[in-house]
Amino acid sequence: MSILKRSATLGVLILVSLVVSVSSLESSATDASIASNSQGTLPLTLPLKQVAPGQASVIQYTAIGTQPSQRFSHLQLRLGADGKPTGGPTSLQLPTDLGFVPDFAWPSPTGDYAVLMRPVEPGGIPYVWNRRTGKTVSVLSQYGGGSFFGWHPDGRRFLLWIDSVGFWLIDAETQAKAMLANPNGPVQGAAISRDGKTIAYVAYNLRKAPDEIQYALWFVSSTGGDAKPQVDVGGVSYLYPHSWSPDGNRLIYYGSCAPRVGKGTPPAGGPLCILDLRTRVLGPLRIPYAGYEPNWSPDGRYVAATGFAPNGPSCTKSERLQDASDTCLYKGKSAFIADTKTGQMEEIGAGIAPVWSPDGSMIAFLSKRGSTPDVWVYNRAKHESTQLTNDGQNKVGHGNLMWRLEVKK
Amino acid sequence: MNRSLGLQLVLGLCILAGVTWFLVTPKMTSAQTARFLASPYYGIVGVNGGYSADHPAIDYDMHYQQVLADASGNVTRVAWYNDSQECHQNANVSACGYGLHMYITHSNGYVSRYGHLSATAFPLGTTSWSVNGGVVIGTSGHTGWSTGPHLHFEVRNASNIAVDPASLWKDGASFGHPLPAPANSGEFVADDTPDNTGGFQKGRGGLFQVYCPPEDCLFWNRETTVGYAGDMYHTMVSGTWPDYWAAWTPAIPAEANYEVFVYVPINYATSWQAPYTVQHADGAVTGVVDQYGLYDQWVSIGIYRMVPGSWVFTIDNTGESVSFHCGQGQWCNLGVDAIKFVRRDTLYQPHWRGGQLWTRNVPIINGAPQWSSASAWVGPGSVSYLPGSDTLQTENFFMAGSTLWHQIWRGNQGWYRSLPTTRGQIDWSSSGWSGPIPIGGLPGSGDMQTQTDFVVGSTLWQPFWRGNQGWYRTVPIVNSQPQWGSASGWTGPMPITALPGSGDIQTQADYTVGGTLWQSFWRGNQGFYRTVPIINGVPQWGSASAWSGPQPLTIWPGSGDIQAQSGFTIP
Repeated sequence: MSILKRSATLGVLILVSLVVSVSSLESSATDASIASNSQGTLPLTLPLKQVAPGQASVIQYTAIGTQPSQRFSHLQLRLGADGKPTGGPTSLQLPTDLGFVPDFAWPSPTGDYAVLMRPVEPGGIPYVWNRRTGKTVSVLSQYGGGSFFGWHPDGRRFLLWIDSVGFWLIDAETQAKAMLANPNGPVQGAAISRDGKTIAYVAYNLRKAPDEIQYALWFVSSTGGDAKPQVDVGGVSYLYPHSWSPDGNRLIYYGSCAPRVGKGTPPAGGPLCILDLRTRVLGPLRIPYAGYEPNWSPDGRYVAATGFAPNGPSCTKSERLQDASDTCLYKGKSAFIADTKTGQMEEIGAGIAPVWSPDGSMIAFLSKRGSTPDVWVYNRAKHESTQLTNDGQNKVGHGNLMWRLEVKK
Repeated sequence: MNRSLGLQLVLGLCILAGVTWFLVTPKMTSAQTARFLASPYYGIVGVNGGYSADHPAIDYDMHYQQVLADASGNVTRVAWYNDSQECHQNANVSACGYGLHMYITHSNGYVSRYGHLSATAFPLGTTSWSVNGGVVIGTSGHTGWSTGPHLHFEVRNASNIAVDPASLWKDGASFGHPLPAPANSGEFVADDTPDNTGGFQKGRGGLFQVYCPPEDCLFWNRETTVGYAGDMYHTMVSGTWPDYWAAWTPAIPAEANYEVFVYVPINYATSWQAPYTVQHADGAVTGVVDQYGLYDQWVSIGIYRMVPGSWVFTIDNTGESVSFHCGQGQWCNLGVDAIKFVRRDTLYQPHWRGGQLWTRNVPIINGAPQWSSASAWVGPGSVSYLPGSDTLQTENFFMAGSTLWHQIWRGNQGWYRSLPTTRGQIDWSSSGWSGPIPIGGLPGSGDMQTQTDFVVGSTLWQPFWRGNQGWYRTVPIVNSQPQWGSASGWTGPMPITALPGSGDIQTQADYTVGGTLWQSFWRGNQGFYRTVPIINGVPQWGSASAWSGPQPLTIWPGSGDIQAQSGFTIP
């Protein structure tokens, strides 16, 4: 059909356009709308966190209670070096004097700090707990609605966006704040590179005409003030806290990357895209993406993500998705592993929100293959999954399932 | 009983009474007060969540209802707060934020935020679009970090610090002067049809390039088990490339203000951001509808001045490419079903007695007030939001072009303000009060009793009563502006004995609806009314109806003596 031919032609043009956009990645132009660093840069030169193979680890997750005062329970499971639980789940030892239940709790990679989020629309007010002092302080408390976008590899700073206020790198120890940028419009996710020098984020593409919503992938250095859009990513896009590959050469995001094909033609991949910063090439990941954060394997070769199970049942709109019960969060969804080298894909089982173990040998994910939503672990060598929790409570799948090394102090 | 034309004219002139303060050319006050917001929902809809440190906003209990701008300003944001798939609606993830939301930035730097919407009257990506206070800007909903349908209404100051909206309402914490929502004055629906008839058309290849039929359109899928009247069409969206389109032209009879509603079926309509462009009498604007979260519902995308032939279209370039928002390795579906124009010609009737205010609206169909369909009275409201002190003597509204003039007298001192209107709504925030103006410049003597200004054709009539004697004058209107320097001299005094009833005059309300002038007054707490036809912009006093009445005061809400009454419609 002619319509399909025209579609394919246009798709190629779009792809060419995207590649051309990527080719300007090293442009030195600075966007004039970016505010300068208002509170100075941080003189931190902390060593980056290194993975210690064979070390005990901790899986952290958040359960959803029915009582307002117990709405969120932040729990953790300790696993030995063999990847097996050494006991039952325990509550994350959060400060007792908060006066509120955090909806999110993110320990720093070193365990020295934790960001706790007091929910205030449209996001939250962050509090920082300092393990050394035992104190908890609020940060930018005058502004409601912050979004946490991850820890800096130095284990001390973290990324926070507050709508219309700014995009900040904040020192958990001193609460010093470096404004990286002040994006116009919502920030659709952000990520810090593994070397800690560059922050990527998705925000309005200011080069587009007014009233045409188009997003771009922006880059800004960790000292701030030099933000610039680099890649057009279309009308809908999102970036995740762990979007950078471990070697810092690639970024995975949710956006436009595959050439458009005609209506009715099965998609070749996407909408998870991988941008190779060395070759400037964009490529789709084949996982039939179904939401939640994708995660790189520690060796940087594989990506684990949530996708729709082939031929599996899925919720339809008539099941009133807006009031979706936990059934619709899990129905027809599977955890997948995609090999970015060969393009092969492996379905590891029904579930959502997969995360890698620190050594890459296992994957934790949430699944309702039993009667209740629980944490399961997939052993890559044995190709088998094991149920870790059985508490009967739903779990938060959006960025709250973590598998991190145990930190001994 | 035969009445001479002369007597009729005299009686008409007696009924018309004038006002003094326009002897002095009105001046607009420009001072920006701290209180600048209207409170369009206060006392009308319930509140789920009040303002607090943990919730620096007001959650109104509004299930897919009209959302009104709280004050004039610029629409500086229309967007999804978080585009990740799990954030269409998620009660457990605060990072999902406002969902579909919009911001209005006001001239004082304050920003009002409207969250969890299901539809907007402006396109995604809007960064600057001027709006007046009170206009319909969208429909409430249940998107983003939300536990149920509601409107999240939040105000930030110029430093982006949240502020309690109640501290910014011009009316203070009292009820103030909000009006009931515009009344339904007739509906006109255009539904999808297989053969492009009945005001519906669809096609492909870009907007209006190819029509289906006669061409076959493979990807227009018809469903006959869901949708308005049991059927609908849908097609997968196509990213940023316009291809499949549909258009509706409801058959309205004449130029009027209409609210545009989109019907979203329970299935097969799943785009988060379906665009609907309204081609109205004054231009075009594209609204956005979250089809994914709506189930067999009508949602509003604004009120516009329409003429016969005004239409709405949608197209499949929603910005959502394959797998975006809807998963399953597929495109979201653009659902195409019915469009409804709801006429919004409305008569508003503010009414004061015993120092308290009530308001109601009355739909107008074919130029006739539908009294039996009047809304319930809303109130009581406090007089405290009005300038001055002492007992309220009279309140009057009249329209000159698109400007609503609002006048009061209390303590024998007068105040006035002028308020722009658009799309059938009033921008209550745009002008401060001017005054006080002393009564000494008016003819006659005694306390001010009532004033009722009204426009017929290109003439402003200004009647007033003081000391039970009436005067009036006329002022020509050119280009919607009263020409105060060309006002006639005052005519009068007219004796109260020419009017039916007995007792002191309390209030008089004159207003036009279509081709009819309605004249009502109260004396001795008894009411009377009559109608006067208008031909070629001139009241036909000799053809006025007989007076009806007396009406007892008991049929009106509140208690105490009647003080003021007014009536007005907004174009």
